[in-house]
Amino acid sequence: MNDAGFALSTELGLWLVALFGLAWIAFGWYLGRANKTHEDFALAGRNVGMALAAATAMATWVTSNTTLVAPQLTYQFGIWGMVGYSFAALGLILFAPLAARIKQLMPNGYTSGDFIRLRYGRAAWWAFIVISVVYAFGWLVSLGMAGGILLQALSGLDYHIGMSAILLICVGYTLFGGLRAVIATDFIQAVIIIVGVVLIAWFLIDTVSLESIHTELSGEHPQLLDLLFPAAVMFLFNNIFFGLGEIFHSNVWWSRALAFRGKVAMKAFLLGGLLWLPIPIVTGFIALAAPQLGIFPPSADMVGPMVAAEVLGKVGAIVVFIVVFSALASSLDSLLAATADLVTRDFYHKKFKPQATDAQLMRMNRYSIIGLGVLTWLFCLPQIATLGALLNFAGAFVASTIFPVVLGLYSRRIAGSYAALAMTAGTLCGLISYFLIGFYVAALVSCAVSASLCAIGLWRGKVDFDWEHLAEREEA
Amino acid sequence: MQGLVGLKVTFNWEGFVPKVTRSLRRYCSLITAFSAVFFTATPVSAQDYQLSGPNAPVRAGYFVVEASQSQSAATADLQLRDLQLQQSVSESFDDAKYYHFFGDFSELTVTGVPSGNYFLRLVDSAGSPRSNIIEVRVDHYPLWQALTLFFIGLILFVILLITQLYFFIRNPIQITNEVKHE
Repeated sequence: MNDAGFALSTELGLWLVALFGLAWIAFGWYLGRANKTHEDFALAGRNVGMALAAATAMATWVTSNTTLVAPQLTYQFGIWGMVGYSFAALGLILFAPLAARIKQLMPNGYTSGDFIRLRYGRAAWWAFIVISVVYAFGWLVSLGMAGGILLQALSGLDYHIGMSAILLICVGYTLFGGLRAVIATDFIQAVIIIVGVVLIAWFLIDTVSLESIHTELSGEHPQLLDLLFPAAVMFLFNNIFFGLGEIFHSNVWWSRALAFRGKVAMKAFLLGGLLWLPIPIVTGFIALAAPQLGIFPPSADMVGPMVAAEVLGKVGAIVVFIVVFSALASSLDSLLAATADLVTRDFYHKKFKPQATDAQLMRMNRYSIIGLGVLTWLFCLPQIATLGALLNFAGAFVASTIFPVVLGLYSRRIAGSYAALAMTAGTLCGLISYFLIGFYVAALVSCAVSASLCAIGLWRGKVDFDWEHLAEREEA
Repeated sequence: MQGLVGLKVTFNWEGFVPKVTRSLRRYCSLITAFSAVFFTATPVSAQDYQLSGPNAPVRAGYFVVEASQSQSAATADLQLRDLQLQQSVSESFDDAKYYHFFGDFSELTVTGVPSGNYFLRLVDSAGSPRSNIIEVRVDHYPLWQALTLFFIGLILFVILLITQLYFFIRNPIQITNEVKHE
């Protein structure tokens, strides 16, 4: 600990950022040399094998959510916060059969926006794009903020410097390498995350016994161990639907489903989900030790790194830094790449320049990555909310897409007007509940309203959709 | 995001009675404070730190307390890390709990607190008060409301599972390992 109580000195924090940044950007550049076409850049040639596929599914889902927000929610909601967060693995597991279906119906597809446009038409596409953009920015901003918070918690480095550095690095290597670099770095990052998290948990249990943590919590913070903690009980299914909505609608996951080779998609998402399941339990458990260690963070989302650094000292703080940095980078790069694909494909190619050449699409994709990076940086400048609150705001949006996506992939009967109405009304009701009740009910309300409207749509549906419409071919 | 909403109208769950929060309360507090300065002659003793916490009742058992150094502080070099945050259910601070601020931070998140009224202040190592006293009311949501939402979520989740399973069984996957390019 230095004089100000931080585990690392500011200089060391900056050196670590610089070293990792250079390593990832160089790796991205090296991998990017193999990209010859826009399809290579955006979908890694649609030829990703099982090992890389499972690793990227798991690593992308291990993000600031898991490394910073899981401890935050455990610190706020106790046992349910920790267990409830791990249920977000259901998102990956339930997306597995959908991924196989997507690959089957859209062998030449590019984005989730493509699917909504072809399956439901223009009105639903606009509702979906608004939801996707809000979510993508919510997540991008939360990731950028998490970078700044991480460095501030560990080394006292100014939030704005840490946030800017992490954004710059991720934009850099995504720009050079495209999805190929994103998936390859995800594989390395997945290994680092698993090893690092296991190490931290091992040292923590060795230093602070389970018994002492339990004694402290049951005496001084009893709500954290209460299985009938009201806000935590509300939060449980809300978090599940938030996770499902995130994965079912986001182009981050659709682009992976389309990039994975043949029958790999379903197995990869199942395996990724099972690998991910225990990680929030471990990272969340770290937060339960905070009161025992006398750590009461200024903001709940800083509790994870603070506890780990306190228990493990300087070496531990470096391990925490590497793990969280890897987790942030693996998600930030994926989101940048997938959102840039959405902008290039759904707006530039389909709306403004249908005759665009492959080189123009690739150039546009790169401009989009830079533009998204700059916009994210601007949104991150004011630290407007805690990570948990910011993420769950997006929950009101994404949970409304769960049933329209599932039914759209399987049922011919549901019409585009009902899908558009379900997404719009679900989002609005979710937002109302976010402001009137709290962030821990927004996704649940949104999904419930959307599901009810979809049920009416199915019941009254007279459409007989032709699945062949989804197999859209590109102009030669 | 909640911070972006200026004058926020919220509803209390028991009967959905609208109540104006935060901004209006702040305005009222300001007017009250202003009146106190001008219309009373009671001398106010100088405090080293000014504590502030949530104005509205806390519904989820966690809240943030912020300490800022008073301009009229007698000992400007008194650091926050040398003080402790004292919390008690009584105004006389019997049977108190203690928290420390981390590093150079001036905010602290208290968590896992059951329903009740809590009094907080800063004290030094000798136990002398170094700040104003704030009162925070923790009022958890009623359990029936939480369980209602829980079961709505459970039913919805089961419906989703059955829907996916039903369609998955009816639509066997047929994918070739060949990539179809134009």
